[in-house]
Amino acid sequence: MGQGFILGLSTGAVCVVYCGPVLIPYLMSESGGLKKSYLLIAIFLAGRLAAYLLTALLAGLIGQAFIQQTETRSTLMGMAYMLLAALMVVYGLYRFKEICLGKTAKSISASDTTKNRFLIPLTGGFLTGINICPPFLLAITGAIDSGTIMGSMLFFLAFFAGTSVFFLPMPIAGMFKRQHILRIIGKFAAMLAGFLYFYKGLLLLIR
Amino acid sequence: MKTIRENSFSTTGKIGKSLLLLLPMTFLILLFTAGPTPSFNSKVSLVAFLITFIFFNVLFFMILYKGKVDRYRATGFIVLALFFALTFIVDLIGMRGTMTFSHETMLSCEIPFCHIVTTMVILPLIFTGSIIFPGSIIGGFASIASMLVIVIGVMLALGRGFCSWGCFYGGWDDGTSRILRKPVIKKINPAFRWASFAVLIIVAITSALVLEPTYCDWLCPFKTVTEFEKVTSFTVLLKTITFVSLFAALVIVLPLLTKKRIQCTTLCPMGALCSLSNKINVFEVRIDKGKCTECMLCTKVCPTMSLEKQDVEKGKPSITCMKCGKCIDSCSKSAINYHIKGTPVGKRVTLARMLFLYPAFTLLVVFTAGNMQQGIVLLVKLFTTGSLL
Amino acid sequence: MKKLTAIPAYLWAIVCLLIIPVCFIKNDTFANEMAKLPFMKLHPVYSGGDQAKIITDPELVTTIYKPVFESLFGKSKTGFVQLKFSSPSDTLPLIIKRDIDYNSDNAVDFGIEINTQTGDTKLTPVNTLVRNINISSKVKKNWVVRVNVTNPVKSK
Repeated sequence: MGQGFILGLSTGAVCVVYCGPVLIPYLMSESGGLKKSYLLIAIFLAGRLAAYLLTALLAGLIGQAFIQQTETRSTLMGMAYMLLAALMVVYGLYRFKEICLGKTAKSISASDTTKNRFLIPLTGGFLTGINICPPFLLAITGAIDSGTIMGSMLFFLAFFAGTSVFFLPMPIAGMFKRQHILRIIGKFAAMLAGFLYFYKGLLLLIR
Repeated sequence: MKTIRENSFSTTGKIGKSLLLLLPMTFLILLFTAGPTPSFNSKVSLVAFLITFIFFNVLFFMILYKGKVDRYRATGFIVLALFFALTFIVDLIGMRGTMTFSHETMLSCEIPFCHIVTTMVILPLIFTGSIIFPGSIIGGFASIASMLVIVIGVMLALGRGFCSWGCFYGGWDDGTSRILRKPVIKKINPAFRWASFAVLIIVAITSALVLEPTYCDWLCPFKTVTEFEKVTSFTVLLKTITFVSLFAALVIVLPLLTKKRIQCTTLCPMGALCSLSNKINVFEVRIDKGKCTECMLCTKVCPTMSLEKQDVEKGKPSITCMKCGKCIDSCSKSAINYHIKGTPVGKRVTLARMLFLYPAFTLLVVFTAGNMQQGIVLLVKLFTTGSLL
Repeated sequence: MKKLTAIPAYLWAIVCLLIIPVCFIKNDTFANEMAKLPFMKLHPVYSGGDQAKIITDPELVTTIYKPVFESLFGKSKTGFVQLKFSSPSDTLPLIIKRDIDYNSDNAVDFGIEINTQTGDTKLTPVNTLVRNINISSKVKKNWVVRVNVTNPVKSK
């Protein structure tokens, strides 16, 4: 679980910056004070959590059904970790075009949204949760490695907790000014997390 | 028109005023060099004391008289780094016969508490109510309690000024960054000044999760010049290769080529923590926009990339500023000065400067004096007997 | 307004000026006070845990510590039990051989044999929760062994 949390935390800042453009315009358009903003954030995060738990379920099933049974499990997982860790390091150094489905929610929020105020942040959260970036792929690998559905769920729960930390201050205006610094720190942290996972993969391969 | 440094309050070029303002510092230098009850057990130790005493008085006098901070600060700072390493290594070899520590050292909880460990004990302290470090709580060399008192006091008083005036490791890359006249690598992405914050996040969390100080375990380059784990397994070998490589790259090669303090800027988690304390510290560096011509020379000389174009436009460096004084010394218009938060920028510059320099230089003296005296005694022993032990 | 902020600012700067020398001159005093704070104790992973019992023989004093299963949150699945062997005469016997009951259930959990000259340590597990040797080392005039054990609560 700790590893999931680190992974989430190391990439949370980057997640905020990429998912922020979905959430922030919606928050700003919906006036109603800090309490309402946090309610909307909570709904957004609930959508993200639902996406993560669904992914965790699939990863757990794969881990339980296939990976744990193979004799070459250590080799497979080791190689997966090392490859994705290398991608994480590259992700930390360069811009990455991610497949972020949440961006489609941005266009939805621009249109008539008054009918169901909670559907937009919920859908936006769910779609931003399925964000094919190296940290997300590493999280899937980690979840598969746990070998059980429960283990996978717990791993993604910790990953969610790590990413969510950076969403909490979002309604507070001051954070908007320092987005670019958070993004830089997040990318460096992602790079370092990549090295951690590279070492983990190396150990799995050599032992 | 006189520049700020040449105004009636400044000490630049004025021997009398410089000597007058040196007096309080002389007293402090004497206190921290000789101790409250001086005793010299040999002629060599007396000579070592005299050299150290004169050295610091001359350094501070030159800061006052010449009106330049950085080159004299750096002299003392590099001396601190070199003599600290020398005396630490010799003491270790005298005690243990080796620079390595073994299970015995860890089990007897006698590892000196380094200030960088502070970043790794905070989270476990909150969650477990205990310290994750094999050191002694009180008593002995660098006990946990005594070092925490110093860290808290220095962060309150100087913020990240600790990194330029007190850290006994910083002198290494400060020194190597001054060897070449001009940088070989001229352009570095200023985003790297935020890298140490990422290191802080990762080491704080990993240390809490594994209940071990992971930066010390895996990354700290300064184990090369202090103490390190005896290589008894593949993992320890990997750790050794990592920290030695980081020392070579971030402390020697890259500072040499870039003329920047690369290790302190990009890796040190304590530097990141001290940067956060800059937010509450009363001292800062400010640019008087009325005098600044935006020549951007300060952005080129800053060793930590804390001054970029947008920072000059804002009138102050980023929170990563170590208050070393290099930008202040480089400014031909005297537009950059030490400043006290809450006071008008560009006014009473000399007062602000002195109020900062006294505690900062005192910190330098406190950490350097003992090591320098002991180091001189050891060097004399080396030249006369051929051995340091 | 500027004077209102300037006066406390200069006062604060003077306080900072005094903090540095006071921190070092009065370091012992402040450190002693800080050491009394409740959180100023070593984590059991480093201290070895609390003492459970001391067995005194004519030539050997055996201190058995409580098992350490500490983690950041709650208890972990695995941990260790620390043993310390000391001699009343300050000279440890050449061979230390003892049967240890670390969980006070009046049953031997493991046997330990140490050659204090070579450092060779043999562990003979009896209880299935006992796994292997973590560390075995001379520490000043004592000998300390840490034996890895499984947490009986977490293993169910």
